[in-house]
Amino acid sequence: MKTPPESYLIFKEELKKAEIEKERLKAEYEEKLREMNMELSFLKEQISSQQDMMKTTLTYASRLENEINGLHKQISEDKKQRKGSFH
Amino acid sequence: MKESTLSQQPNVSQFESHFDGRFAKVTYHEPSGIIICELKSEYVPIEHFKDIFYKISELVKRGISQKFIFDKRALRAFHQPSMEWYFVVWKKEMYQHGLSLHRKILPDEPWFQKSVEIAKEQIVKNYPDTIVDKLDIRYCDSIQEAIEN
Repeated sequence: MKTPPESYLIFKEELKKAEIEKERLKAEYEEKLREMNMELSFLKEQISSQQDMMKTTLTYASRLENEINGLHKQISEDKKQRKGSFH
Repeated sequence: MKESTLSQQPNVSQFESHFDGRFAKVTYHEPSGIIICELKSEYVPIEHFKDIFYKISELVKRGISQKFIFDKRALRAFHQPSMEWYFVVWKKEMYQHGLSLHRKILPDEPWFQKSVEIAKEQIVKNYPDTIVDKLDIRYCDSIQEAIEN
């Protein structure tokens, strides 16, 4: 059996190196993608949390507004009643 | 003589590191029993938040339970379920281990401070059996101020 030419052996070795490098790059890319997806999910959570904060604050502000309006109404009714009691 | 040795309270530089992660850095000073937790991120996902506090529990259970300083200046989003757990579960458990002094440092933004106030009000309303009235909680502007007060 004839031994393969040297160029073939070199080519085979280079191919093996290229495959190892391809696997390394693939693993590196997958790791980066995993990290990016994780960051993205953190950001989504952060946005949702900030929206909840806004909702809570607006609900609180609306409640305060209602309470203030109720108070104004009560004050004006009291004023009317006091005026009426003088006559 | 150095200023820190004149004062009864330690200086920040005298604190040892318990851990330094992506979301928080925790340091402690065993002789004074003070723990400092500095958040490092605008937002901390709940599982990481709980993990940070479970690690802090290790120190409290070791007897480093005089004072807990929580520096939240990096935060930009207030996650209600995390804060509820911290307030209702963690603080209660740590109180049983002798931790009753809490010092907090909030971000400068008034809107954030207001949000915290509203959220806290809600938690107290939803959980009337909290131990909040048994705790000494104060807000400070800096870590050194929190150590000294």
